[in-house]
Amino acid sequence: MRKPMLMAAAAVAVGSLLLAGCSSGGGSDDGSSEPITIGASLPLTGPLQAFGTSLQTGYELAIAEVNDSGGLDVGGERREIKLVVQDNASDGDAASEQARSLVLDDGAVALLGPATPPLSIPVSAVAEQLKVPALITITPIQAWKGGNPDGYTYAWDVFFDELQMTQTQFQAADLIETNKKVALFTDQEEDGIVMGGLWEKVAPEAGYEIAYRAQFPVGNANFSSQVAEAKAANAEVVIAQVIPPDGIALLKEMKSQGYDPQVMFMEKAGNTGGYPTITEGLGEGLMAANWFAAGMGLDREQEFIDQFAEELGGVNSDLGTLIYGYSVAKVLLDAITEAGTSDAAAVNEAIGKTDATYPAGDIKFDDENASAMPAVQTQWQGTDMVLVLDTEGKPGNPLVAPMAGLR
Amino acid sequence: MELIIQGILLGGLYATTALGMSLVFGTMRMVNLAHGEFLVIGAYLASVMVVISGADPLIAAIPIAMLLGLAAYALQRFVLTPVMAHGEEAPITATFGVSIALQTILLLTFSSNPLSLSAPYATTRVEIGGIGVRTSLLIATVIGLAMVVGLTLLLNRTSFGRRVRAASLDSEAAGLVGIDVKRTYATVMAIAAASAAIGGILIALSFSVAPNSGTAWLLRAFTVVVIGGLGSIPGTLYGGLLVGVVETVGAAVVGAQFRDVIVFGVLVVVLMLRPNGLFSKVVRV
Repeated sequence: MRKPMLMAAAAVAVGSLLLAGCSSGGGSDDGSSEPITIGASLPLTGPLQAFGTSLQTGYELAIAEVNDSGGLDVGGERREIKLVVQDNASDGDAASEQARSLVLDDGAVALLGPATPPLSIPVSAVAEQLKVPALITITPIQAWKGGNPDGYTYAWDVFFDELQMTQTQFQAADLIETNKKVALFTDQEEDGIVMGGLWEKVAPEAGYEIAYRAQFPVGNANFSSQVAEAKAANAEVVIAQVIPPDGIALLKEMKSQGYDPQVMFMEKAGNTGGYPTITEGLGEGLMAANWFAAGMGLDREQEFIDQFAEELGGVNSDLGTLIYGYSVAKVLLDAITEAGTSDAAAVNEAIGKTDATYPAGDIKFDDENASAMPAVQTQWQGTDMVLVLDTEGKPGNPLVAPMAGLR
Repeated sequence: MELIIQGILLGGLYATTALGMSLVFGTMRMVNLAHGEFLVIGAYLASVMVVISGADPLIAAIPIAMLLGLAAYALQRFVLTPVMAHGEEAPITATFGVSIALQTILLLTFSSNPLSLSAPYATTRVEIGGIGVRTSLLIATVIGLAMVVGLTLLLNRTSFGRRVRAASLDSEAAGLVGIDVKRTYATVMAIAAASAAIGGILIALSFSVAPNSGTAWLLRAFTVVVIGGLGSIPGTLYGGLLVGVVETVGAAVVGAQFRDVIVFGVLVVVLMLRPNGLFSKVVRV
């Protein structure tokens, strides 16, 4: 018995090392007219694949625009930009190793981020260690800051702040009649812990009561007793922070127990493109905080919708991720132009001075290298995530309640 | 009482998903690390068949089980059995390779999104003694029980079963008395994969699967098989039921956040007290 188990463990360890990936090549930016290399370790496979592919499209779009116009203006000279992408398979260790390799072996003068704290924090750490700028996005700011309590110098994050985001659920719930009792379902990933704590803190301030809270490990399929307790607590508002498969299990259990709250927020899982389809209709009417939606009045909003919405299955978070990827890549490119050189320190200083409007919104960094973008609330209505609460906390499109998928 | 019944039904599903792994280990003393992917592939193939034919997922399970069984037969016959000649470790490593390859193929074919199978009974409940239970879990438990009975009869009452038991006791001696051990191993792997396909479909009906979720289900199946008694078919059923009850009651009493601590804690305790599993005296392959 022990031998096969040891062999299995050894095989898993060897496989993990193999999956970490490798790269070759080298060279560095020497100030010549050679292309300027930018590196990105992205989750192109694994559970975060949707983020990775959307970010890649956004990064490539921004760089293609520059290259198609004759190159990036760097100190009066037109320089081609080369993007080197590696697949970290949604693994933080692989992201860290690849970020290091992109700089040391491929000569990347800057890094573009991989999305989510478990991947973005290791890449940010490499940026700090190697002293190259890294533009991070799709990574909630407080969780990202928590990854380096000493503060960042070379890593920069453009995304929403969890505190503002956790207020939007209650602002959106205020749009309809409820008994203001909340059932909270949060997993034990970093964001589940951070946001779960924030929801508990913010709820009383917003006039809501946490009537029931369930915490569970990622990969939970058995929600029978938790749903029964939430139902018994008569919670008409449900807020969940779960990964997509756990979200399906939760919805199926709620449906089977006939638990249909007035409004249900499902963060993380609810941001998966086409989630109502994936859940066989159970997700119709789900709410989710978002970083993009039609009607936000953002720069080039309709242009991006026209170009990518059909390909991405609708106006959804995948489109928002693409736009944020495009925007942070533009921030980096603009900073290189502003610096007039690809020297890391000069580019980093220029990033810190960013104060401009991009398709993601107005980007300006604070003293802790973060640019907090406003989160909005959206509701799954058909194939689109429809804006129901705007950036100022005001109603957008009508919120449909009770949630249709659980009826 | 309600929690125990819910746990039993969850355990029924766990047992169904673990039967194939138990059968393979009992016969070949091989841990099939691709077992989780067999489960997941069964669910994905069923989703394709449901879309094409409009059949109920449980009806689709029959041809899918046969299809996956055929593929597994070839895998065992032409890949794993030859590898087994190189020692105990080689087939484990080979199944790990198969696991990664299958996971990648699933990712490239179906994306990383989870898959949920729908059916009229997937999100309904029925009453048992005044207690409402998930219909899909009840179906999974009934199917699991039927599979345990069927496999036990197959192994104990048929000539094929005698060949399997002979091969599991001493493959060289079995070969000397005219048993085609390679074909027997391949048939066992085919049955294991077929039962895994059914298990995967039942998982996707009750919960969901994703290309990378095979590993989590492999761990759960492994826990069930070890607790029940390695290679014991009835033991796998008892192990599944025990894990289901411990998990459900433990999560409700102590907190769902301690689910893995509870389940794997029980596994460690069982290994310490009875390294061969709790039910290792019952009929083994």
